[in-house]
Amino acid sequence: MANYRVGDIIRLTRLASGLTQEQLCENICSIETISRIENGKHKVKRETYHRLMEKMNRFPEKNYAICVDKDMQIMEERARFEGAMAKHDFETADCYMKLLKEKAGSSAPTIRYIRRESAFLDFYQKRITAEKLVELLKELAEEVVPGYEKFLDSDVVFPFMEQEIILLKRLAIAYGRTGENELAIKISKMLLRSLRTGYMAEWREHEISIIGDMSFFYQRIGDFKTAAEITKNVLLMAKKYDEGTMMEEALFNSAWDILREIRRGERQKSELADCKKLMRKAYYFALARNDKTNLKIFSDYYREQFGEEIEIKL
Amino acid sequence: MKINTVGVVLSHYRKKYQLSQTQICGGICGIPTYCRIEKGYREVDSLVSQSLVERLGKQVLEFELLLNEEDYERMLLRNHIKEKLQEKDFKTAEHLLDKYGAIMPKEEVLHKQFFLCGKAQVLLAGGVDKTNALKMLREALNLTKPEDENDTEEQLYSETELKIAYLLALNEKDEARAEKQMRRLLHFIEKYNDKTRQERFGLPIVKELIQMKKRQREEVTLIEYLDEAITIVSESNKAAALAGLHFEKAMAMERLFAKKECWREKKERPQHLKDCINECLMAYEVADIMENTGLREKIRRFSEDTLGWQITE
Repeated sequence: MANYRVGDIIRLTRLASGLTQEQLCENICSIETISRIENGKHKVKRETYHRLMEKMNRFPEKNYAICVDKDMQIMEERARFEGAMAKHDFETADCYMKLLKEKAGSSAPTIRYIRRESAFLDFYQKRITAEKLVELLKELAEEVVPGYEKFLDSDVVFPFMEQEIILLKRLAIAYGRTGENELAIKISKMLLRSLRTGYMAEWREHEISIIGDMSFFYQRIGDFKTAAEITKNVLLMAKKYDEGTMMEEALFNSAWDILREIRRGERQKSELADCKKLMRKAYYFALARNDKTNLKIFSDYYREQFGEEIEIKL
Repeated sequence: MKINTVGVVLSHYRKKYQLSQTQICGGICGIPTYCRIEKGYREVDSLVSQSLVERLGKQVLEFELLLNEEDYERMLLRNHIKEKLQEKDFKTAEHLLDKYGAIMPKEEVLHKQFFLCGKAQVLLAGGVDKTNALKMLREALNLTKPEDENDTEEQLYSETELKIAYLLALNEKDEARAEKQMRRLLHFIEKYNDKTRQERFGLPIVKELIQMKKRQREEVTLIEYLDEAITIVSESNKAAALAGLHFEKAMAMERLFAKKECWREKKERPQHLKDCINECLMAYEVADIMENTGLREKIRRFSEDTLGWQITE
């Protein structure tokens, strides 16, 4: 069962919004109550929670409370769309996106979700450029998390909600695509600072994926040493939390790091055998999981680099 | 106050799966109460709404279910008990269960069922009073699923009911009956639950069926169950368990080959060997990455001694 630390979310959001307890609870509840709620000593009523969050311009995310009947259908459509995206099956994702748009209605969170996801889908389908992707996501971030930039270089931890984290994570990837990798790293670090306070249930998955993205940003600015260290770290974390996809991708990225270092002359050519071995390891790991997407990526890349098949000849 | 949360989930999935209200609420609450919950006027404690949602294989945040302070206290205690049982800290679990027994509304069946299920697990772990533990489990299941209604194929289960039914099947002496019961639980899990819940609840059941088929030396069904387990693990984005499963599959395939004389023809053997070695390679790499050195060496030896293929680093 998810552990939803409501008191922490209210306290952190209040601090991030620059409100005092008195200002926040005015016309909603007493100051004693808000204090007890924030300390986890008082179970907040659902209605009170909504009013407090609304006052801070937030809405409770990943929460059935915001659902009406139509939203349940949208949630299922979203799950199908995300399944297709995870498999890099963009044609199918296009069909689900069309259905989502038809069913969206006037629900603000759904419309924002569609804007975010269709921007990415359009980019993957080469219908828009990386610059356009940044523009669309920036516009959305300004609406959903206005003023997030002030937390980029700050020690203040802002309790981003799950959909906001996904949006900013995507924005960082988009910046990476336009060459603004330093900014992408800053955004990633800001999100990690927030996630690591543990206010959100099931935050590990986001943490690992953000760290994984950072490895690419560091590679692109030429800091290969940090990138390789991050990849190693991702592999350790993925092993610890038994995250299958992350594990196979971190393995393949480690091999990729070695290959680049060999090509730059920072490693001996004799280490090519180790690199190939690592790639094969990632391939058989993906085969064990029947991960068709990565199997294709790994075998195509191997063939392209070495002119031979990745499978062991039996 | 109208709380349009649990009701929305219940109503949506009831219609989607074309289930009757009785199928969902039978043994938990009456239809009038269920209708009020579905319409958004909740007047029941969190265990009732949670159990109803679970019978549809879904989960809502606990925060959305809570009725009042007492309900919150009981929910925290239930979570603590589940955690201790999971950690196999049965002494603490028993102490917490006694505490729960003292504060729970004794007339409400779901609380009694949770309490009996916990107590039975503690007794089973102790190993001395298995008969009484099984009696307790049957009594607990009967509270919401009376025996005469229990034998239909399409059953819905709350998490506690699922746990009880699983423990009863696990301790069933008649293996054919145990398999039938476990298949019924799997049917529910695979039809109504998401991938994560399928791994959490379904994998232990498939693993038991695998052990059963190994004992019975039924290699064809064993391989089917191994494939089912591999799919569950892969689709839930997990990996660690795959080393053992692929290795079991390689061994089962080889045993099956040995049994079927006709497969010993030259044409068939190379392809069979290739498939077996591929299973071993997958198992070996997962075991190696997960640093399971004992299993990795077993796979290496099997591949070398039985299949005649040396796995090289």
